[in-house]
Amino acid sequence: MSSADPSTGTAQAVSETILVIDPDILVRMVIAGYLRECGYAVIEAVSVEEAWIVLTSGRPVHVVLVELTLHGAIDGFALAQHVHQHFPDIDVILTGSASSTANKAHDLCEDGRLDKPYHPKEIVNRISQLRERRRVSISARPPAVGCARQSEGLPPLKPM
Amino acid sequence: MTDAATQPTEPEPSPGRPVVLVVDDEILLRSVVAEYLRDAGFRVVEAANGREAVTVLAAGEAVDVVFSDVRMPGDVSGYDLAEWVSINRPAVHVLLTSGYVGAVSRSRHVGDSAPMLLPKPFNYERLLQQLRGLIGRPDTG
Repeated sequence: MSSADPSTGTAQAVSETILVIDPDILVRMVIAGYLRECGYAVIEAVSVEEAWIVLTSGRPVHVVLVELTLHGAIDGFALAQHVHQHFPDIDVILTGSASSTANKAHDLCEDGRLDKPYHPKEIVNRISQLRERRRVSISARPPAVGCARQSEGLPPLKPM
Repeated sequence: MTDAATQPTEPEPSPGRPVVLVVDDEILLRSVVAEYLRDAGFRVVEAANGREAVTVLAAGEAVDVVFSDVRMPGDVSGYDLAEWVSINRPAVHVLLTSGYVGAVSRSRHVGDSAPMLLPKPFNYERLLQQLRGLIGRPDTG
């Protein structure tokens, strides 16, 4: 996949790739789907550790969209610093909530190819609907500790 | 792990592209498989583990088939997920995969039968055939 045309700053015929990092599957799923409909290629990661595997794999990534307050040994801000240091050509967009993530996704769509002008509020409403449906349908037994949080025995973040 | 709460209403079958829920804790494999299936005409939702997959399915998202690894970190294995689906989303098909020989030889019954299992490493064309065969749609274009 090619990167954006440096002279125009816009995505070319082949999509730019956005790495979306969010431990909430329902948020991640909606944001990623929205960005794909706008024409981006999207890689979805559940954690900083997964994101680092992608970034050091050699797969092209142009933008990282990450929540600032990720849980774990390394938060979104620390990841942004790592990316800036080791992959200076990759833009990092930090968000603080599902609604700000939706707003940032909308901004990305405005800057790139846009076939459907979604309002970011539609994305937030969709996320709320999914969460409400999940809240109503899950059992009384509390869920086990989230598997997405791999917080022990992690290798240090470093490029390959 | 079985869900005793209210069973969510099964959504209507996807009128357009069939939906695959790809579940695997290895992100590089998960994203490559998802990309391949999208290029083949599927709509793909990605989950990093069994618990995330249950979250998506419990939220009532339209899913035609789950393609899941068997061994994943956390409390929900591929077989646990298949069992959950058979009880709570019986219209959803399940195809499991594993590189662990024991998973192939000791596949357990879920509901009335053992879920289909595609051993790793798998041929992508074979994966497509199995998915299309499960959902009964020979071409996903």
